[in-house]
Amino acid sequence: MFVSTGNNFGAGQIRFKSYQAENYLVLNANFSFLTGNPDYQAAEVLEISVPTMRIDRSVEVGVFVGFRDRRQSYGSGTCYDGCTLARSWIKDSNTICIEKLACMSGKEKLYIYIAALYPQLNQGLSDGKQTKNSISLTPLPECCPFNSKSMFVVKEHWVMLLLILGNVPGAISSSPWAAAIENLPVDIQGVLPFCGGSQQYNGEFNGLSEITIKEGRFSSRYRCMVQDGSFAFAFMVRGDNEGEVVEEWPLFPEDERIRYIFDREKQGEWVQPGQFSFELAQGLLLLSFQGWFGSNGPGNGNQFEVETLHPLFPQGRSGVVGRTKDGNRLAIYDIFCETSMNPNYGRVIPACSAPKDTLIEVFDTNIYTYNQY
Amino acid sequence: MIALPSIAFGGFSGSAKDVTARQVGGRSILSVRSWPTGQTTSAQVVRRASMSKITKSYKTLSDEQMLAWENLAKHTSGQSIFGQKAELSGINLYVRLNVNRVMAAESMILDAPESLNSVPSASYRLAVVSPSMVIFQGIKHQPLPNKFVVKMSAAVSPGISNGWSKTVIISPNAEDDWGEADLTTLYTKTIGLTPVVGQKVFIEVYWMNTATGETGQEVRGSTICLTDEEAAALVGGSRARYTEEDLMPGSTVTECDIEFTTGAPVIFFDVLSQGMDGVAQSEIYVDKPWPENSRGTVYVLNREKKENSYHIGVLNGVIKETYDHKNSAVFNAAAGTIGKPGEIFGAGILV
Repeated sequence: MFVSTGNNFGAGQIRFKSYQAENYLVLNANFSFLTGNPDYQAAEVLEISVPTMRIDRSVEVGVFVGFRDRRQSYGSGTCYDGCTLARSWIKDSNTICIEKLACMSGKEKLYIYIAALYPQLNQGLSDGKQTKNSISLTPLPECCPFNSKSMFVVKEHWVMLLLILGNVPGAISSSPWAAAIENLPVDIQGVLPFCGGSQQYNGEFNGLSEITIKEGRFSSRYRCMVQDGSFAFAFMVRGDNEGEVVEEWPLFPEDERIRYIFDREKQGEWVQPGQFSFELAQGLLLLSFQGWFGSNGPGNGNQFEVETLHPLFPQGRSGVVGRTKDGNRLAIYDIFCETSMNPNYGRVIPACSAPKDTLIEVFDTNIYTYNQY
Repeated sequence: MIALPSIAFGGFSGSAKDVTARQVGGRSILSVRSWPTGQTTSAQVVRRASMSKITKSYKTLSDEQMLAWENLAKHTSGQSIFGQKAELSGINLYVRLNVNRVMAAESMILDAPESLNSVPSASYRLAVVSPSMVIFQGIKHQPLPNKFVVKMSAAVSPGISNGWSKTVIISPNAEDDWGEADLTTLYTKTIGLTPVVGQKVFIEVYWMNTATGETGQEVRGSTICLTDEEAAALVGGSRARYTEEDLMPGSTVTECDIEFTTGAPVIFFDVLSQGMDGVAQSEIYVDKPWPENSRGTVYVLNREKKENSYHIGVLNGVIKETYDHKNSAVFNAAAGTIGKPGEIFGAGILV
């Protein structure tokens, strides 16, 4: 692993994983930067200065460039992230170049994903056909299907991974997707762009989601507009992971997290107490519910009003598992979020099948709700 | 005869009959007057005209600019034919660097560079000359702004051992194509004569920093003109590359650069595909066979090249020889969105 020594577009320090052969490189790096900075504005080509690499030039290859676009759509927080490809090349032994895309002007922040093999030319005949491995999944839990063209190629120092989404059954469309990929080397890890899907707000780009590859497992970190044919195409460095922390499920930064805290005593026969926090990541898809509430009995919700409604407050029903506070009985309950025609009014309604006035403790704190598929 | 002060008292300069005298750094130097031995080439005419123009332009510089050139010249040494370091004047340095820059199609610099850096020596593995081919291979690459300068002579008798004075600049700014430089057209245009098999061609090469005009050490060599068949055998087998020149009818691409000789387990693509009507497919047919062990399915990235549309996807291309002996690569959509026209580029993995 090495870190950049500078760049001409206002990004911070960039960490690279690399495999450096005599006549080609495999590089992995993810980073982001604000496009409003004057360095980026002035640059014609994005250049990253790095410690001396083994090769001093390469041909042009593709790296992924994306942006975030989270907004309310039909009452729900929805993800409209998008991406495309930029050309990238090794300019000299200390400089990595990336094409500056005019189509990305106006995007406040760009995300670059480098998982590429940079070859040279006139170096002798290539190795020819490589041995491919088909994708065989052990669902943990049920995972999305990948189509038959999906495969990976294992080399001594890197792996080429091609994942192509197949037709996803509706039953799992709102579930987290995670699985072990049989025989996938466990020494590759990283966050990859998962590209695909058309969308109404950024229709000129592909949708952009992210997946995590770690310890032989695939997990879908978040999904935007994925559909049959969405893909990941990556050359991933083996090993060289020292010091790199890859979270299978992302912790969103503070400015993307929305938290509501409720603390209410019993206020009437049908106004149950509750002491819980309710948190969701902006536009997503991940709800966290911790605490306890009183049940109003089967079929009756326990309404908590939300003040200062966040623009991306979700709509719809999500399920978690809780238990009665005496620790004995399992109760299944719903979290129902609702906004009315009044955009400033919202409600969180935990509902439960337990008898009225039973106190329910939530111990499954994570609710995964994918509201886009 | 030119009436000037006597040599004995110094100060003599100019030419008379077969003697030329000049004053350099306080020394009086006499030499045999040189006379042009052949017809002036058009390249020489252009060069002499530019040198004259550049020399005259020095007088238009400001005092500060001239001083800067003088200062830089003091820190830069040249070497005279006597093997002793002689001082370079500011105008000498200005002319030398700007002649080189103009030769490389760069604009003149009026302000002296802050400093001059050493330019690497040139190195190449093979120079092949035949009546229809002038190719250098194995050029050791130097990054921009260095350019590869090639001087060559017309083909002369193989018995001549020192013909480097006959070389002229064939290419002042040949950027090597991954270690290769094809100078066939430039050689024919500059020399005006086709090399004759069996005759000798003299060669001088060096790197020039086109930003400053500095040049590196000249490397001299020579080669005997081969037959076209011999030359093709030497150069042809080393690189498995397919460009627009190799495309056959039926191809639906307008730009093509595919190379198998990456030395890595990937194939390089830089192709502009126009696609086909009604079918999400692209076809390439070439007039020479694909390399051995290079038939199979390749997966490579594609980016749409259309105004306001930047969709991306993955193509799978089947590389094979068809039943009717066509060398084909047919690409179909494997993932994502494949728009047309599309740029197929980067490293493709063959499985």
